[in-house]
Amino acid sequence: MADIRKRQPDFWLLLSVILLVIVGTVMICSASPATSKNSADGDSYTVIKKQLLYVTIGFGCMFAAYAANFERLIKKFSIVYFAVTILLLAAVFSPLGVELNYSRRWINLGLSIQPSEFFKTAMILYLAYVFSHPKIKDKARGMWGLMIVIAPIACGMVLIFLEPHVSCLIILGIVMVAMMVFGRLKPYMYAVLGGGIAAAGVAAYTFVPHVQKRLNSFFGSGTAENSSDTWQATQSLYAIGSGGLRGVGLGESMQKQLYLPEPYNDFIFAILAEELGFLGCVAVILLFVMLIWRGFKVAMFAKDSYSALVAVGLTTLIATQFILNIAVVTNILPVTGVSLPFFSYGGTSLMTMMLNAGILLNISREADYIKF
Amino acid sequence: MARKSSGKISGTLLSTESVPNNKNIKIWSWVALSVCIVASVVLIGRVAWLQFVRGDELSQAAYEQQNSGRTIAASRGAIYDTNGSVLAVSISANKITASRTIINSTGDDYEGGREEYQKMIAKGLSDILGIEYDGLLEKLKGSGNYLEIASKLDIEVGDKVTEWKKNNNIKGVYIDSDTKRYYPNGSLASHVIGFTGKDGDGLVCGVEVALNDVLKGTAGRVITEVDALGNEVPTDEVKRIDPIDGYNVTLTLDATIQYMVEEALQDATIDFGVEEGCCCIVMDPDTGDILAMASNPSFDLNSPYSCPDGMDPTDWVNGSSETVEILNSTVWRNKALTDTYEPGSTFKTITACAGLEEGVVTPETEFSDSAVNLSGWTIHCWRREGHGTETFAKAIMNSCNPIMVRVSQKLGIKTFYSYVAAFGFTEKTGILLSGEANSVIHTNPTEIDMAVASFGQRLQITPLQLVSAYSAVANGGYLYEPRIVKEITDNDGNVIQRYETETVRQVISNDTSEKVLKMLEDTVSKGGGSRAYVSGYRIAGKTGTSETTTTDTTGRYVCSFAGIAPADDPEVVVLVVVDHPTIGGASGGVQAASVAGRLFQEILDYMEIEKRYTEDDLKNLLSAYEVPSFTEGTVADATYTINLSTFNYVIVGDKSDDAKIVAQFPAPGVKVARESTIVLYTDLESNISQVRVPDLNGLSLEDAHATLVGMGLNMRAYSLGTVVGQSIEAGTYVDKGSVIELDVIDEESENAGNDAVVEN
Repeated sequence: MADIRKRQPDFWLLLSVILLVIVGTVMICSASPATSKNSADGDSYTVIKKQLLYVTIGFGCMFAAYAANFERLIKKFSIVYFAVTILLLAAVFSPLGVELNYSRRWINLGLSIQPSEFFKTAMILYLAYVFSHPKIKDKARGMWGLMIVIAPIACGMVLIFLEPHVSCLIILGIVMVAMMVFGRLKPYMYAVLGGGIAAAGVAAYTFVPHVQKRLNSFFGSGTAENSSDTWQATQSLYAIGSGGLRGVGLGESMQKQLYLPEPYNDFIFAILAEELGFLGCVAVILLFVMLIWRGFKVAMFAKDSYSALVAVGLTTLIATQFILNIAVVTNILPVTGVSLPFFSYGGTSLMTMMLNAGILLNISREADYIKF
Repeated sequence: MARKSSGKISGTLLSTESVPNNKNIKIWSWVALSVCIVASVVLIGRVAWLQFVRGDELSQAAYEQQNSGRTIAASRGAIYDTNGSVLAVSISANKITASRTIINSTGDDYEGGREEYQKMIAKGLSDILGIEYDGLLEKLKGSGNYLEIASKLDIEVGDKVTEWKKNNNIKGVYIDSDTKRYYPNGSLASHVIGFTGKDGDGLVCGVEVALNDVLKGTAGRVITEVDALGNEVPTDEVKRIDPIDGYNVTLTLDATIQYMVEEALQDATIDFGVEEGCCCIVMDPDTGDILAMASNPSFDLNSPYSCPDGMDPTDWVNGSSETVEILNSTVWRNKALTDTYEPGSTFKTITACAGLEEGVVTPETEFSDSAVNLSGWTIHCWRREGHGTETFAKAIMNSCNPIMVRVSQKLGIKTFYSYVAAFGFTEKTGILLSGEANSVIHTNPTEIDMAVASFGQRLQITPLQLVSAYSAVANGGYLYEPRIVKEITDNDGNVIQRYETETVRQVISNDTSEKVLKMLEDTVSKGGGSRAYVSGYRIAGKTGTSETTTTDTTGRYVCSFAGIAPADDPEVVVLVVVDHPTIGGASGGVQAASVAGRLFQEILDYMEIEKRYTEDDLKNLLSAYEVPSFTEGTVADATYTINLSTFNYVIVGDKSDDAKIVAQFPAPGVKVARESTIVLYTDLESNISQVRVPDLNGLSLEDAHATLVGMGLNMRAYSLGTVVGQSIEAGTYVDKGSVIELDVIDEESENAGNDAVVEN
């Protein structure tokens, strides 16, 4: 074990994560003051102050997850973590829960946290555990086994649906499907899976008004001209379009001046495009690509199938959020509430993302591809 | 494959479990990674598309949105006349904008709620600004953030709003700087200057339109907002981009000459009962500079939308589409360049130039004035019996049409029309004013087309084209592009652009130019243009009359006079066009000629061009003409006769053609000098204004004559020299038309003066 502890984490993985966090923090500092000034306390630096605190905590989480004994502190407690996050999700509906903008997504434990973010990570640990456990994995790959495996996840998802937080369900769904594929389902199960995905999509469109509205808004039918979604999408395009090759310069964005709502949040990439231009966008996208590439590399050469599946899940999670977020910001997809990993403002999101990065780094430390 | 085997080695070393790297994870990792890379490429492509392909469009939209709220108007450049007198200027003003976002959020905290807050703002602003309360309230409740409530307000009004805002602790209403156009001279040169619209841009006509881009400048803006509670953002977060003022424009126009011209046209409109308006252009033939350009009726630039004089104001709505249409076709029309007309005999000058330049005639060539028969048409001289056989110079003087036809036939169609084109009649002059009309000239002319064109009929040109052509005749043959703008300067007086005189081409030789000027001078001093005669100045010119057949009005004649002075060294070219005069008949363009005569007198005097009396002029001063009897006749008969003589007239009472003349002053048979005024009474009740007799002692006879004529008084003298006595004492008030006999000493002959003889 002593040898293992001396092993280095994956350099490129660490570098990309740190650079993304730095660029993200700089962008938050640039984008937030105008809107922040408009908030109740009138302090231009509220968002910046909080974000700096979250970054500090985030690095703490990352280091903790990186340094932790993987077997004893992570793998062993996979199921426990998962169970705890389901309880936290349920707590959202207790008096501890906080309602904001017609959604109950937060609980106040001194610091307000968003359990659904933790649930993403916990679900990955749980599925990895199930698909790698020597005694369970074969059963889990079949129809009935899988249904039993999914049942507790479904419980958590129902709670998230009730919040409501549909975009989180989409991400969970994608990650779950990816882990099933990587966990090697029985061949006939892929057909079942495809059918399930299609059914979920149709159900979401038919029964969730929210989803219907956003899709309609995106395709330009059935919504008022100034609905907030169209407004956000339009303002986002204005911001990106104003950027050009080199951008208008850091801190010079006009669109963050109350045009783009909450520019430090899901649409931070639009401000980045405006201020740093095409070159800035390409740089950030390449950093994500580097992170994803190293993430899958860690998965390929992880020391065991549990680590590999955890790496797959976490990388897929980051990749999904990254792609969906930028697709929304560039108006390829309708507006959803997907945040950009390491960039978007939000304590829980940043902390869990850095925790995820820490776990990946932990796995990379013990992966054996380094010699190749 | 090498990878895999090595993997196994290290895997066994490191792992506590069995070798984990199953093929499945590797394959799917590559698949997932590829999907991510493809997705990233798509994202980069999308960003590139948005930034490079749609970049201009999106950033423009963003810019417009960011600046749609509060702009700071740029000060529009001033317009000056050639001497630096201000013709148009921008003065500071205020505008009021509102932010709905701020009003709504502040209103939510207001004790009466949002609606009450909006009502309070609408009430306060509608009271101060005098705008409709309901309409404003609706607007405040509308969607979007910024709303412009009022612009171009006087500073005092803006101050009132500021005070109201302070007293009532209003958030979300802003008082920003704006500019307002002001024309110190009201209607002066209205068609040339033009006016600005609500958005401040030039509208409809004039330099305000033609040079809008130069004049308007760039608006500044306030970028950062106020916060949701309505507090102003601290200055370090406000981005303020200052406006860039527009450039100033100096015209070639001379405000004094312009004023003279407009007065003369206004008087002519009343005196001659002009129904379709008139216009006048004064040009400097050496540069092509427009010194004055006026069109009557005109309008006040400070209230261009108001009801013009002579129209029923009861149903007039300023700015409605119907009234704008009316204005567009009447007072806003610059007849000097947007209307075409048949030039009539003034065009004979062009035929003469072509004939002399091509050598087909000389001023001495003799022609028969007998009627010309052509393709079934017979062309007579205006004097039915003709003028017999006469020289070409005389033919111009007598304005004989058949001789012009004969000259054009000698030239041939191709040559004749090449001169028409060379003088610029087939294309726009290119003046820097919008709305110039295209001339209407036969493109494939026949013999008969050319025959009538030789004396200016069946072709339509603009007054501006004719005045340019006459300038070429005056300056030795050079056709210039008419220049209206002299230079563009910035606020520090630096010249941004200077407009030089553009020579289009040399049309005729200097020799031809001189010959034609001589013929035109004779036309004024001896021929049909005598109404333009001003003793002491050598004036060359030609009258023209044509019947407008393109409209329903019958008997609509356009009378014009194109003149050049002084004939020996031309300084100004004046064209007067009077459309459909109803008083004084419409023969030979006398109305236009008399307007031109008055203008020559005033303009040349203003330009300090000394009078030089020729022997003929001096002889004319001493010659006495018997006043004919007009009593019992009609106004039409009297004015017709007087217009063909060298007298002037004033009608007191009913001026209509049919009115009977009941008395006249001076009485028939009294002998008076040339240019004397005869007062005709159609009504004994009316009084004529009296004038104060000036002190003429010590003046030369010429100056004394000019002074008296200018006042409507008449003179009689018997010798040339210096005035030493006058029959009516200076300071006495007498009726217009009174005759004053002058006692003159001829210094050179050392003659003692004659005794003054008083005659009334």
